[in-house]
Amino acid sequence: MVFLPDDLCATILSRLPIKVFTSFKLVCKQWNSVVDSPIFRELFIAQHQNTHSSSWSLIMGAVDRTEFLAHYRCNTWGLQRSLDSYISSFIAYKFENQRHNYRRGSVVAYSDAGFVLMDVSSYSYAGSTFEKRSLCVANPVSQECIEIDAPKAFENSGIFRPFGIATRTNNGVVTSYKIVAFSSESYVENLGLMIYSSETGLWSRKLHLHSKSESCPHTISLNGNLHWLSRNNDELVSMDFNATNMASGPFRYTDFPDLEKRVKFARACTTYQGSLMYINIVSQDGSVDHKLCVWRLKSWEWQLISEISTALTETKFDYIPLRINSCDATTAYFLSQKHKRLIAINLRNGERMLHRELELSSGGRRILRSLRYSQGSYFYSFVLPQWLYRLPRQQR
Amino acid sequence: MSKKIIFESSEGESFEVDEAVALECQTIKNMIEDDCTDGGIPLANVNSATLTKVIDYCKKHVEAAAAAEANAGDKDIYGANKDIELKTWDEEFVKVDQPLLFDLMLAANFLIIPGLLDLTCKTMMRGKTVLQIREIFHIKKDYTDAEEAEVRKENAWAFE
Repeated sequence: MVFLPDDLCATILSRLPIKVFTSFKLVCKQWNSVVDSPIFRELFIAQHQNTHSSSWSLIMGAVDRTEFLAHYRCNTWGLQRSLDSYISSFIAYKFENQRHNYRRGSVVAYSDAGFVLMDVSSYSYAGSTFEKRSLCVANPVSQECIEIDAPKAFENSGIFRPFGIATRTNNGVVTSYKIVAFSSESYVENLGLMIYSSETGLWSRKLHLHSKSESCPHTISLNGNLHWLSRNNDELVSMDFNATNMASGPFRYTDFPDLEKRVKFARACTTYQGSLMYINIVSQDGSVDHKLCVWRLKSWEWQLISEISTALTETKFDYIPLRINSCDATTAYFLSQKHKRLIAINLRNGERMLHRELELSSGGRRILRSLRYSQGSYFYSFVLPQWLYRLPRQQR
Repeated sequence: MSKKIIFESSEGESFEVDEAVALECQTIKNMIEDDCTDGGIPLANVNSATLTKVIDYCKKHVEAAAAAEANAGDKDIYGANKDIELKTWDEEFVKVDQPLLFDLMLAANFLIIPGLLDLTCKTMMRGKTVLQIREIFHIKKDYTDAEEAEVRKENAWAFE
């Protein structure tokens, strides 16, 4: 008999991918309780502090999702399929394969804790008549989920469009989350936001949505805050739920750093290692010198972290910047519809790599669909964190 | 000439190694810093077979680190090859039977050799089923069938 004390057991298990040690909970009661212990969680997180490789997918749209690029074979998770396939499985399990249950759920937002926010419509018997709206917060990998009622006033009438979920985490635990929805009782009056807090279990109302903001923006959820782009593409709109001084409301508006210059792309942000990033190719008016610049948002200011001359401008332009590779800070992905390909640009030396061959490459990355998208399509990057977050218990 | 450190295995056998090699073990490093390594270090829970392997591992990694340092600034394909070479060496190194692998893991844990601990843990567990794990660690299933079904259900995603 080999005796494994708890700490040695934790030492061994913490070196395995999340999926593998989760399956080893079946070995015996001791292993089950070790994996569930805070000490194990802290050990695992400490060991993965400097690991930035994770499973991620680039997903176009939300309701009608198209997964463009999927990296899923990371050592942290040990998954064998892409994140979008997990989302599809979850929807099938939760909504589609349920008998006598006429409900439809669609993803409206993603969170950096690995959760998705879904908008759920229920229909009465036979699925013909709309009955009510609700929301579902889910971890599509573990299939854990919580359902939340829509505010009474919007349960079955009015305009109610959930568009963001911000998750606050501490030491591997989601301490709270906020859900934000655009709402209006009629098309013209009382435009505003409804905000749900997991801490109170209640919806509250916030009127006067900034006029520059889209009514239903594509959000990036990061470190407990939400970010999106203003309607005219020159400002970052953020909801800072961590702010201690809420006098100005949770809203913050940050001008992009290149407003006086020419930019090649419609502005878009991405995330990298817990920071919000902005990439563009900028040039001074009249200048032929084009620079590929990368900024990081820090303390609500843009820091220029990389600037290289680029010849990318020579080609006919329909490239749009997508994101920085989570595994390796030096690669940024761009997508060209015209050339039907993804290109990766090395942010250190400006070298380009065509990524058509990704379709065939092993190692868990591939383009799943043809690179066809319409103008103004929005790409979400859904990145799994370095831990399997559980949903916090709902307050009642 | 570099300073030598003497290890003594559980069988009482002595092993002389360069200080640089011994420094790979965090535990020994602390002892050296505290100046309490004179007269040899008795390792009552590490047998000779295991200790021989541990020293092999530390030697190889000290050499590899020195070689990498010599090639620093020379970050070409050559440097990458070195890495692959060390990885291949590591893979060969852990092609041993389960009991020795387990002893190596215990020694790495006790001596605090992070690289070896990582390597042995991963190798020991890689690709194993729950049943195989119970066999390796001589663990008796202590769940009732109902409890086992419950754990399986709660963590269904991990069993697909």
